[in-house]
Amino acid sequence: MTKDDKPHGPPNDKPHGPPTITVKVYEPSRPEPKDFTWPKTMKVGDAAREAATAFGLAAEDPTFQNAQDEILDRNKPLVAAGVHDGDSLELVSAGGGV
Amino acid sequence: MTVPRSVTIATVEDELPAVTAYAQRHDWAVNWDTEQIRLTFDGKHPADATPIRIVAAVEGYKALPPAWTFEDPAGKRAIFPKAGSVNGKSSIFHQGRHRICAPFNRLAYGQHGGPHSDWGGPERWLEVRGHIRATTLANMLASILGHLKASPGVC
Repeated sequence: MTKDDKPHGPPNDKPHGPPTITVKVYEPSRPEPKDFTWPKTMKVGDAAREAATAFGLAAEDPTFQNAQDEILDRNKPLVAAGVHDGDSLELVSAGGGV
Repeated sequence: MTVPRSVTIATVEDELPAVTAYAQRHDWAVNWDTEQIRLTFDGKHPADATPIRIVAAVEGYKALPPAWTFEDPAGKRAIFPKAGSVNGKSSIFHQGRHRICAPFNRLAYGQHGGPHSDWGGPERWLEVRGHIRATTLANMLASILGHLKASPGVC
């Protein structure tokens, strides 16, 4: 196949890596984490809700806490919240004080 | 509401592996004092590296929530984190009263000198909805560290 014969298709996404992120999620009160693979563009809140369901929790407003203790904004896509492939996250409540 | 000391100790020790594992993942040292029935977590404030101790006095747990406070590990002064917004939400750190305002803190309730007489009393702490929610010691510590991360320093 020559250069001109190169088939058309989706753009090569190698410079940005795969479109998914695989992370390890801990529910702080349980000893064993679970692994999840999500689209990078999935909202933090949606991913956290899926994780909460997998842990058997009916959490009100779940979100994640990263290794630096930051509580992630539920409304941001995972990639915009700074989540990277291979990260470890903690499942926490997004609620504030009053 | 009285919970036998032995029951409180058993309840805390059931949760101790998880809260210890969480604390270690986030670089906080745990001490469980069965004489005083309190857990302490020693670490540093993330904004300015001030040594800080988080204390959970757990008498009556889990019929009642722990009484969460902050201490200066050197014992020289009162210490409390400044409030910082978390993703647009208010901090759980009430600077004026030096209280952690969350349903999982006994000291947040009016019966214990806190500002909240609207949560049905500390005996009903597990039923409070619509606010930050944590029902295990590990979840509580995670919530506190999350808000501590957003705190700009100590008072």
